[in-house]
Amino acid sequence: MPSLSADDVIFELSTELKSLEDQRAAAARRQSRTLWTLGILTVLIAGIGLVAIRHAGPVLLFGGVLWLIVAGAIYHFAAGTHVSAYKDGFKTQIVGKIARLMHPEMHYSPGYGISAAEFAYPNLFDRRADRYRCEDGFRGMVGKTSVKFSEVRAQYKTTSTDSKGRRRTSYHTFFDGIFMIADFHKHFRGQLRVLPDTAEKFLGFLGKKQGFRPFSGDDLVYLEDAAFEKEFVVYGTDQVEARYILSTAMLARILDLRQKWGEEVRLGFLDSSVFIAISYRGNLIESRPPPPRRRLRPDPTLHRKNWRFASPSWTTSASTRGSGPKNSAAAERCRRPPSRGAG
Amino acid sequence: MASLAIIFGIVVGIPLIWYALTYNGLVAKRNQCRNAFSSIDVNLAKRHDLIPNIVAAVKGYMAHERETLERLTALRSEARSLPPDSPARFAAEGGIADGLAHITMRAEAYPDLKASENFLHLQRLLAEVEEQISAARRAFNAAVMDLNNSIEMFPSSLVANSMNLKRQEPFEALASSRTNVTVQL
Repeated sequence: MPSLSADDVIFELSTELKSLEDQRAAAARRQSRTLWTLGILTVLIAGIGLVAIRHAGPVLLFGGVLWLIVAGAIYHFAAGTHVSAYKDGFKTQIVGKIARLMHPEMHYSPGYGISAAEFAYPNLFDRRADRYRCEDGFRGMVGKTSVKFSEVRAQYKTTSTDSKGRRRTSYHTFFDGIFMIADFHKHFRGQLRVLPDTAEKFLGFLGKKQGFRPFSGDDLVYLEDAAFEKEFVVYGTDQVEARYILSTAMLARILDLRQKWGEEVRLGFLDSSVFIAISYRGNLIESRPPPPRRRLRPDPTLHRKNWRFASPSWTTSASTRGSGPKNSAAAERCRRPPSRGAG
Repeated sequence: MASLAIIFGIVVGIPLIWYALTYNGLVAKRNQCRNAFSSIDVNLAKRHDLIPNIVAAVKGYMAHERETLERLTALRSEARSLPPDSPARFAAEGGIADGLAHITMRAEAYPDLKASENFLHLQRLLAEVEEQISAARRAFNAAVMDLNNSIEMFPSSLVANSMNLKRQEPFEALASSRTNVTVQL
């Protein structure tokens, strides 16, 4: 397995980075100029409108909305397309190459990702996704292990009716982060879920009681690692199989994963695959053009933050093999809405 | 009259329901222990099944280890003939584990054996079985701890006493008898 450092990767990318930096600077200049022009025009038009049509409220409102549409169109054609082209270039040229440099058999597709059906399959959340979005998908082999992961945002829907009988629908995010599926190097028949132990954190020893975890139909699995038990609760279909999957080394790796990310981590094991959901607020793979005068330089904190998935320590934590989930023949294009049964 | 019936229901009904629930819970925990122990037994049997193949695969290479291989075969026969929960059985199983570990370690000194596909396959199978034995042992110990807590803690201890349930020993205590038998390798 290649073990390139972040500095090696930046060296390998120097040609692409140079070309992209010119593109970024040009896009940023265009964006800045367009925004300034539109801002000045808005002030002028608003001023003229207020003086000329003093008492015609609806006309002002219509004019304002019309100007917003026109301004949006101007921005799109004058700068938006250039900024989008730069962002797409960043993803395809830089992120894609980083993936290949770190793991030659790893492929990156900005518009693809874990499908809604694959996300719902291990039943890691007690909600169904009514709105699902994924992007920045990676798939390929890490050593002998087939791996795929992407950014995912899943939301559920609530509908309320006010006193006047008007229905209002809201969407609430219940998962925003990275979802990963990897083959697991052990064969087992049942399923196992490792979830954050919120009950024990809030209720102490009472939270250990089965009665305080009413949503699961599976058996509660007590493990001998106290630190692990404090962070996670485990449900499985078979007590022995649960311990076969969660060896003591595996428990330590899961705890390590939780500590490294410092966020909520959920794992599911079924069909000889491991499903990992790591909550993460923010977009991991995105580039915004900064002000045009500032030149880009390698950011040492970026290495540690965004290189974590590719580090050898991570790949050993998913010691896995076998076949993927039944419905994972290929990652679906996930920008389309999920089927009702999928979430 | 109605209030008397309610009081009677509370005084008699609630303890009766509690007794039934606790009784069933203890039975379930005892069965879980038995089930976990049988899982250990099944996996030990899987290991027994591997021994003839391992012996056949290595005996051509390990001429100097003939005594170890013969002892391993004898221990396998002994373990299969003894009752599953007898101390002698655990002693024999301990000897088998030590013998297999010794063979795996000694295989390092035989490059031809290390390169043998058949031996590598058997090694993988053995590692798999050892992992399953370890998992079954951990499941058994967890089930025993759960049962022992119920047997010793009040008020479930009252029901456990009426059922004549006794504290169970974890796997390490059951298997500790193997240290009394020295397996010469």
